[in-house]
Amino acid sequence: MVVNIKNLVKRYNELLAVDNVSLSIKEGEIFGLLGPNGAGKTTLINTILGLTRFDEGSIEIFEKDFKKHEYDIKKEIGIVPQDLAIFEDLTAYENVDYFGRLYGLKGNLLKERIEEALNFTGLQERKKDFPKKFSGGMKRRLNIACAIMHHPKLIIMDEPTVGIDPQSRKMILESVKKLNKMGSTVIYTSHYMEEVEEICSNITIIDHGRIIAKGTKEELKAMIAFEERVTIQLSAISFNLVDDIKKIDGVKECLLQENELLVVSVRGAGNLSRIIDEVGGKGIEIKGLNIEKPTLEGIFLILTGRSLRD
Amino acid sequence: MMVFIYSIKRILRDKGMLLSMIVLPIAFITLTMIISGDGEYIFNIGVADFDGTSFTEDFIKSLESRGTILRIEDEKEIQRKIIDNSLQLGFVIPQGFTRSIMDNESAAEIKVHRINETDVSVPVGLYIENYLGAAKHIAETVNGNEDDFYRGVEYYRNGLNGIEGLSIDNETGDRIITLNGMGFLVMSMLFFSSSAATLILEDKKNKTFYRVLSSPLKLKSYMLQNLLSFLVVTQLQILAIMLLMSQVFKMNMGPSIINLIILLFAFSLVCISFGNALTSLSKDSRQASVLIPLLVMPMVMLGGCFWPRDIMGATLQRVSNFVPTTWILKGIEKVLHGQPITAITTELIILILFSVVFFLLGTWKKSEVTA
Repeated sequence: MVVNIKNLVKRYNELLAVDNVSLSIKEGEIFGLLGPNGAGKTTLINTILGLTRFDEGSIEIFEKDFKKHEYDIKKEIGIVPQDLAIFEDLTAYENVDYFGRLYGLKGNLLKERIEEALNFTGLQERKKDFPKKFSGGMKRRLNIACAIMHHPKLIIMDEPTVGIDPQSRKMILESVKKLNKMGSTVIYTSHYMEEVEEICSNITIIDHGRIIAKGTKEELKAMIAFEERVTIQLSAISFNLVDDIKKIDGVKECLLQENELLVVSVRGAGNLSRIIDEVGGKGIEIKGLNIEKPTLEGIFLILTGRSLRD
Repeated sequence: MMVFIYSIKRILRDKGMLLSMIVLPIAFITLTMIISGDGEYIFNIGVADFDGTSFTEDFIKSLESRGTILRIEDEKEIQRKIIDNSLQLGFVIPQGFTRSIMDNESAAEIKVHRINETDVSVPVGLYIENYLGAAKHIAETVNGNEDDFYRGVEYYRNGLNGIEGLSIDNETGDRIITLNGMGFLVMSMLFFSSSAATLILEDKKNKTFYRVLSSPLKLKSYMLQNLLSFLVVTQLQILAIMLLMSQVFKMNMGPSIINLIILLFAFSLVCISFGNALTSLSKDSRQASVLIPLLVMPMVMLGGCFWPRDIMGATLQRVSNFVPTTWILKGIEKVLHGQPITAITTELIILILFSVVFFLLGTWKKSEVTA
């Protein structure tokens, strides 16, 4: 196991930020960590990096106790933080050089790795420029170059594609896959469900500091494969609509988000016409109707009662 | 030492920091030189003569070689001009003063005004004392005979003209200009080190601090390398400014430059630890940039970087003992006047104590790193 966390607890006074979390990440995985803002993802990552002290539990990385082997373990980890973490007053080359030296690289090996990281992220031509001249996507790529230039065994990417153009996003996702093929294990957190679906082999969903679901994409989708999900766009909303629909036979869950109604029913409930009648009976016009296939977004909504971008 | 090297690079690339480090003190020193008349020290003596006899007139003329005489009609005006430093010494000759000397009376006395007994005003004060003392002896000897009195005073005055002595030497004036220059250097050291320390806050703000601490580098090492880089750049600042003061502005740096450097090194420790305390107690660089002038300016003013501490009231002078700028300038003044290193031990110890206190303040508040 690259990461083995057991019964981890972290409290901030009364707030339980990480609540008895246990998870294992195998070598060579791209591990997706999902959760809305404030779910405890970053706290969990910070404890893995030794930046936040935890109250209970244990963390083993590369099968070594983190507290005892912090220096050795950190040498093998690369972090791509959620926010850009680059020096605006150093050139792209100097930024990569700075972080390379932090990880103990020097001499010719350092120079080779800087060139390699800049080539990998497509910044070779701009290596003498200061990041203030870069676009958002280029800054994100430099952020990645700084994290990977020491060839870490474990790369932690905390929402690396926030606020960038589609082209840079595609490039970053390709980079993650390439890095993984080169032997790095990746922990990837994102708000973009489609990214996680595309690149992650194992996914853990976290909310309020607790793991609420985990497994492969297929396993997670299977969790709701026994359900029928219908989304109805409404012209207006009615006060009792949700409660009345919940009373219909076979309805497991009903959620209203702005003018969109999500109804989850047991498979084969055959209650769609009754749902439509219930809406129509309240004088609400149906603007659109969609019968959904299971997605990770749907899983998240069902498990947490809110959308991932909340 | 990678953080150390890059920190120096970043400081030297920052135009704002270079401004507070080099340009600001040079500008102030140049201004001082212009005001002081290209290095020539101006000593203004204000006189209010309410007696108006030929004795007082001759006495005032005899002072012309000691400074520029300014005739003033009002005693309050003399006091005001001394406070705003346009007069270095002033005196009031009361009505009937000459008569009282000739009659050997002690009632009428010349009222001398000066801010403090600096080595510039003391010789002039002594000259006045000696001149009037001699006049009193002459009056006693001639038993109040006016003609004999004036003749005797003239003999005395002619005798004095042949004596080289109590005048202000150029070196003394030079030392005052140097002290002013040092005041500006002290101010810019404080401003620069506080601004440099905000680099750490910038790192926290742009999350590079988070990334650095995710690496094998320890927090202590990161902080020490940063502080060391600030210290090294402060030494460069001291050397650059002192070189300019001595080589370009031809200022009198006193008999021991080494002692000056030792003192300034001790003060640079105060500056660095002050900057460290400031960054530790500030939430972000914006708050720090508001706090820097709010804390530095009172220290600079109380310590006497802009004007002599002696012109401040007794309470303010007592308060000024609690700011490090007072002690560095006291030390510099002693060194400029040729006092040995042993004479500045107190100042050095107090400066070290200040740096320890600031350093402890800087390490007192610790928090977890957040992404």
